[in-house]
Amino acid sequence: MSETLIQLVLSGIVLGSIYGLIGIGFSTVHSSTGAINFAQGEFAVIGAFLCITLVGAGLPFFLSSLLSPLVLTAIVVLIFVFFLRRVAGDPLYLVVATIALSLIMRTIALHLWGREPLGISSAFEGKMLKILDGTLTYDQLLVIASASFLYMVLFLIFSKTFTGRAMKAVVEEREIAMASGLNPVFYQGLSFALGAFIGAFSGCILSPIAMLSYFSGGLLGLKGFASAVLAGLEEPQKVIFGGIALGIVESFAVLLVPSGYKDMVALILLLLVLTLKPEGILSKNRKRMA
Amino acid sequence: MRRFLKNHPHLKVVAAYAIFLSVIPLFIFNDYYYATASVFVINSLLIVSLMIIIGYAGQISIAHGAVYGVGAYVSAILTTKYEFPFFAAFIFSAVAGFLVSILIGAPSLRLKGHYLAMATLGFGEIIIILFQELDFLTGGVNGLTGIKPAGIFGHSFVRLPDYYALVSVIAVFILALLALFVDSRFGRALRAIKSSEVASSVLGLNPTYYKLLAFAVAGSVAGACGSLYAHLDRFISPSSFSISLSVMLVAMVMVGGEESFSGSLVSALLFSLLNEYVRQFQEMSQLIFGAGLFIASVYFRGGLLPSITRFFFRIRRSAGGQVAS
Repeated sequence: MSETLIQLVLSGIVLGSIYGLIGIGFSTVHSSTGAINFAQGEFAVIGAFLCITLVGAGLPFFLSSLLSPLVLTAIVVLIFVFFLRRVAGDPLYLVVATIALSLIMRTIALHLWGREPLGISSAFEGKMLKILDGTLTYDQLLVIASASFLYMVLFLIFSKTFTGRAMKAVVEEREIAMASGLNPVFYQGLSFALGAFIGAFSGCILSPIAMLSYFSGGLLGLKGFASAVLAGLEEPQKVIFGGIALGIVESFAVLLVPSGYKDMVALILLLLVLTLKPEGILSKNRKRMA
Repeated sequence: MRRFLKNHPHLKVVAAYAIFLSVIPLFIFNDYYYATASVFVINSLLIVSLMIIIGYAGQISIAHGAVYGVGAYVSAILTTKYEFPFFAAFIFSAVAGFLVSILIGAPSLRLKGHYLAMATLGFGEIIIILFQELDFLTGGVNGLTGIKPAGIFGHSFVRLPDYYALVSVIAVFILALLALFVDSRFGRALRAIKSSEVASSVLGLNPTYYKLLAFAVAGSVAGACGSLYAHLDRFISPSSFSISLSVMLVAMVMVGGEESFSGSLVSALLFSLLNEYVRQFQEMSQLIFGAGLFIASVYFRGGLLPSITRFFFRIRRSAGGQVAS
């Protein structure tokens, strides 16, 4: 019994790290624009598909998993500069624009990569590591390792650097931020770029573990958003823990409900937190969301 | 009578729409196009009902397609497995849509804007998972086939022209009710709450009640639409009611103008024509409507069609001005 328990915790942490990374994307965009980026899940899916294509073209996995986020980030920056910039100051229309963007990206993914779910074989020839009574594949270890690394980098960016604080300032104190010479649009674009990079990267490291199809972005995005909401959307540093909590709850849910209903657990959790404690469970802020 | 019409301007729109529906058969020569026309009528109802949530109540729902699906499944299951007459099943679909939509709207009492959008999206995904997993009722991912054709008083609406007539009559009736609703004190109260919740509660309007009312009205219409759809193709599956559909519906409302009754109807027509035109690539229409929504939200806040009309009016006015001077 303890074997399965440990295994469940481990796989929960792996999936949760992915959710957490996607959630960080929500959180960075939200902290600089006050809006939710509905295309965040699609960033992950397109990132994964690009990576799969690059690997198929003969590039090594590690190179592809860096190249693909860079390509997607470039595309997203262009979309921001040409279009989203115009509505970046108006959360509601920005949200509608990203909803549209998600529909467009999903359809493009369908046209370019087809209906069948895609994945790639293990980057480490399926090698495994034994931890206590459970096992982790090297692919899963890579997820945990890179999530922790990214987490530390983001923690430093948001709490120690000027850029990180400026990203938050442009939405919370827009006038003061502008008066002190910050250009809100620059920081909003930067947050979209960051969200795209992290999203695509999480898709890349997910691709050896799970198969994704063109519509997977919807659920992935919702789960990422759920982790961000659990942690409190305004605090990018904590989102990863929200993700891990969600991942563990979800993997334990398999013990209680049939596997087909597994995805519902995260969604119900999301709805409960949104209606009962919208400021987040891990957050100390007692601000009402509007 | 004249005063009544003056106080209910949207009834004229419905009358024009009814005339349009009755003219359509003059241009249709085979059954296939009757099916397309019926889908257009169903879409118009769906979009107008969602427009009430978005434009009048100022809320958002990315689960409207799923509520529509609930109506379709309820009607299909009741008529096919439990031998209910069509009309009873139709009513039950509307009731089911009503209940589900109130549940979906409940978070709107505490959440606003994009938080509400996410919550309704979550609800939508849950409903779709239930369609897929409750396979003893819904037939799982394969869906339900062999749904009984609609029948009223022993007359079976198997032939598509007959069914088109039935759908049109029901749709015009429901649209007239919606027009009356929008022009009634309820509609005005909704707009008041949309523009300022605080001010309208000072006037004695209860925002909780009115917001849920908007969801309830829109939900019952969506449920009824589901029933009409289920007996059209007589086949339904979870993929007919995906989140993409819900997003497309929001897109169509935005394209038509979020507060525009007539815009919603035009947008439904536009969508159906587009869908017909790119039939071989069904997803192409999603791309085009996605792009339409994107452009509408970035460049034309308040709707694509109203902006275009305004643009033409401005041209005409400025041209007229030149003549006068």
